[in-house]
Amino acid sequence: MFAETFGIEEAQVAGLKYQAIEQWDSVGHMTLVAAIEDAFEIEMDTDDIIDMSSFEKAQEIVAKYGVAF
Amino acid sequence: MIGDYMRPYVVAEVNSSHNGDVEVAKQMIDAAAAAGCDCVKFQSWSAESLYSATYYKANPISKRIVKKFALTQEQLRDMAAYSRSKGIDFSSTPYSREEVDWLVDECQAPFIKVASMDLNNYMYLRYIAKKGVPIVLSTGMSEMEEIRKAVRTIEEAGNKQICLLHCISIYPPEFDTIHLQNIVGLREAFPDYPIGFSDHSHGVEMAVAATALGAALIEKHLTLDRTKIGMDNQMATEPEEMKQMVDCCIRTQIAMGSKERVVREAEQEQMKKMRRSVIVTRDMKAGEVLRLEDLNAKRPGTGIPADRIETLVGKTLMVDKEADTLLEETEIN
Repeated sequence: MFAETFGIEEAQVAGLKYQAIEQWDSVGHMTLVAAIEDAFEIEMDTDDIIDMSSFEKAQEIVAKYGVAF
Repeated sequence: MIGDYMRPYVVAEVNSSHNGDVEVAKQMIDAAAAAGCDCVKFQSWSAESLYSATYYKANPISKRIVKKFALTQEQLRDMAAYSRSKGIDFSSTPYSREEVDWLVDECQAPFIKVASMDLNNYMYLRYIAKKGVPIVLSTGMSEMEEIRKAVRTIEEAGNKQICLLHCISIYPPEFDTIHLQNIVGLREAFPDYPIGFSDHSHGVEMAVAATALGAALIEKHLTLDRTKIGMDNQMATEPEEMKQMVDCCIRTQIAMGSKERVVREAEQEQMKKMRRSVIVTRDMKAGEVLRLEDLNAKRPGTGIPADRIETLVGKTLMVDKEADTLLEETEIN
């Protein structure tokens, strides 16, 4: 989902952090959140949205909503 | 009191970098005060005043974020009081008439900041102008004629307390799009009003250069942590760099000085050490007549100045002189 949203290779996703690539800016972040919420049919708390600053953090946060990987 | 070429009034634009947390907002006020800023500026928007339902329908997540990041009016009033207690001015950018009233009447903001997006919102400008408080008007995205019309609108509403900010509404802008000379252009177009600069660039250089161009006000976005997710953290300045910017701007303004050429006392003292004085180039006896080849000039500058060498040719030595020693006025005739 990260790869698709930001148009990057899947190999680039692990360890990816907010602002590490041009696409993941504040606007890109909203697009990412929308993609995650749509895909997993969840609605994240705003604190989680602004705390989701890396791929790994996103996995951790999404897991709170019952999403298993 | 602000003015062109005076010490710039530095505004720390907090925007929504507090992410709606008043404790973080207070930390930002503390940081702005510690950095030497004159004012800390918030955004008064709410989810209702910032975007239309049309926008939120297309961007539902934005609405949740805007709601989360917005401070309530009461919280803004608390921030105003907290700022005053820390010795720093408070202001904010309102996005509705109600927010304008609250800022002026409840927060006692010393000025109202009008965002670039409202420069052509003449009805709104008129309303703000009639509040009778100074207006700081950002001019991003605007043609000169639009700026003229905005200024006319404010003036015609009876308000002539205006400060115009040159601004590029890109976050951050490329350096070749900043055109700091617009500060000069605005000053020429609006000689009655102070001109400042709303700086959205990375680093301190643009603010410093704007100060050198006489900017009366410098506005710069502040964040406590650029790596955090937020609306403008990617281009905002952390406290340490903000302090560096304030210090650099103040030093630059002081150093710009005046066009008048005056050798100050400290430099006159330095002259005694660094300039040259006339010496004799060889051992000479009293009664000898000085020739040009007998004379040279070396440090220190406590003797006869080097610029008089040629005037000494033909003078007679009154005393014996050793080579490479300074010649004194009393030793020649």
